[in-house]
Amino acid sequence: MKKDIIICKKCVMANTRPVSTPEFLKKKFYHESTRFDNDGICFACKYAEYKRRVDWNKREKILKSILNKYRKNDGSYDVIVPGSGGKDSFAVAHKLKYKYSMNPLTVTWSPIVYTDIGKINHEEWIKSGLDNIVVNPNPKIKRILTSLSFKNLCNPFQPFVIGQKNIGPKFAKMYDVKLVMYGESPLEVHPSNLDSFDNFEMPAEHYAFNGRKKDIKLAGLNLNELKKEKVNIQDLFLYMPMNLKDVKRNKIKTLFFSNFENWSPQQNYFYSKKYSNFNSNPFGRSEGTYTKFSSLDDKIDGQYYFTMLIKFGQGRTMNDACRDIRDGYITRDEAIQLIKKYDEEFPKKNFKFFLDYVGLTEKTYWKIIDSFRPKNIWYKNNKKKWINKVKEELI
Amino acid sequence: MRNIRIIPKLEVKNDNLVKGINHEGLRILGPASEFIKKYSKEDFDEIIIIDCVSSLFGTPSAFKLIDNIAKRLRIPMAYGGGLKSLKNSTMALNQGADRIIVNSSIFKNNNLLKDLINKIGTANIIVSIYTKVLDGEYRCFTESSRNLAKNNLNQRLNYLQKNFDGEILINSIEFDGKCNGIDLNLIKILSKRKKQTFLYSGGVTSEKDLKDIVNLSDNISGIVIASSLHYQFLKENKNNRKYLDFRAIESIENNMSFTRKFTPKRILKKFPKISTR
Repeated sequence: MKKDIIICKKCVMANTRPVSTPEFLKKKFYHESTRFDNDGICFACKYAEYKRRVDWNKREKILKSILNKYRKNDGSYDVIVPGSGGKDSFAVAHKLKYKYSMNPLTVTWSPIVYTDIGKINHEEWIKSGLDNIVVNPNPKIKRILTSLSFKNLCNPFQPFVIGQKNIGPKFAKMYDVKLVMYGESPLEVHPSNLDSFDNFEMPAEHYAFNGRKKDIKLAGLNLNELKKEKVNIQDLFLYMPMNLKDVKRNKIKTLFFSNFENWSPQQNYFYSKKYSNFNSNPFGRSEGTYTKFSSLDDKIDGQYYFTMLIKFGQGRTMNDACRDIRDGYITRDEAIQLIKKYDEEFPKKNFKFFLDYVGLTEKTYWKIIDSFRPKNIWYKNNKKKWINKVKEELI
Repeated sequence: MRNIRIIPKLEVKNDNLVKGINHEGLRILGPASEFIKKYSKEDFDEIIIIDCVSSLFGTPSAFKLIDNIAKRLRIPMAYGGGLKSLKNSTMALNQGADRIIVNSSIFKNNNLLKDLINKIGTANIIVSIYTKVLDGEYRCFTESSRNLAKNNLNQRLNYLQKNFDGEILINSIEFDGKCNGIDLNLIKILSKRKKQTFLYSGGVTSEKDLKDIVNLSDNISGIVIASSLHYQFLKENKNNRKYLDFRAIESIENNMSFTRKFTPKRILKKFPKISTR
């Protein structure tokens, strides 16, 4: 990890944030940093600039020609849309079916633990007129993996992320569908290089693997180590990456809808509101941020963003604010105000539930959390309070 | 028919008029000044301007904007957003606001409401409440409806009944921005509180909504309208790009599902007795 903290001059993203890399190879908490150009602008902001120059009518034509290529007329499914039924997946699946006349099968990797509102929104999504399969992985195994993933990687969400990335292509193979459409491309959040802006596909290495089985790691452990935790290979079908040869043999194409329209989470929210009874967070803003419409379906969501704050010095407010700056909804100064107010807010609402779920005492929880604070990001002041250098740098 | 006022409400952020749904989303509709110019020419009784992010973002109130608006406005203006002290509120009045709108601050600081009443006068104060049903009861929210308050609607209204006899602006979070009708249950609850006077905001879209409010209650003194008026204005100026964030066009079209014309002229013509100046 780079030692000097750099913060984007346009948004508020720091170089402590990672780019997206394949989850099933991560052994320890390690990441490749978000990239910046020589003027101190992050690649996500460069992509936002690039988006303003894109001819979106032309992109829609490209989308239509791709869809026409994969469209089936025999009544079988022609596209898999993985999603939770949040605003983004709502918009993607609904548009594919009702605007582009495709026959999508939506597939939901169930959250680690559903919130009430998550369940309701999922139902509303399906009620808008879509076929859906909910994938419920073995809860015992899910719990063990979530707990291990928190302890080993400070990321309770890794099993969910792996599942989410796997189910699209896996279900495509099972249902003999050749096209998978995810919503938001990593280009929107953390592109890895400036040449990739016209890359519409999800790189297969995020869900498929061609190497040795012993190199695969889940929750930071290899298969032998997982056996000791009472997790056997037969428990892991849904979590294991596909064989790369299978992807090629089945000619599965995995795309992001955000590459074909001028993607904006706020617009997806308005779209969901128009076509369903999509609900924002009934309790007001979500803990750790100022928004109330994103990441609502999992009781672990708050911990996911909090562990992000620990590892990268930037939490949920920063995440939302970067997006809103790039989309022109807020200014950088406003984002800094919001970060001051909310970014370090602890998600206490489901904290007890989380401790119980991962089987930890509060004391052990904080011991683990503190062990993952990078020294270049956190230090203790003379009152023994943890201070976040990214926030200091920003404010 | 009794007197009732029709009041356009503009939620502003910096110089723009913004409008979300359920008080979420900061969709930019265009320069606030254009909408103000239009509403100022109509026969409305008052106009409400809310800086919808000041309190949430912890940024200063939009005094400069009040000043700009006041210069060109022909009708009274009520202003709210981040008014946390007597000094702030007085400043808003000095800049040209005719009335001030306060929410969270008076519930946090018991003395503030007293001070405001003493110095500014009840008639110049509107207390605003954002409310929606949660677990079977109407709860209150602050900071652009993002923070859940401890007290429920009933408790807040009881508190106000003892301490404030001015107008209370009730915002229905659930019905906000949807252009799909009003919160009838909420209006029924308000109508039972005979000693208090309310302004209602949330979902007012048709003449039927206006009639329902008038028929159901005799203590709602003003009907506050936002999205329906703004979208109608945008519809009339559909080809003028300056009013719209380019991304918003599709959703604006989507939101124009109300079929009958809902223009200021039509409202005021249909309700000559309701809207008395």
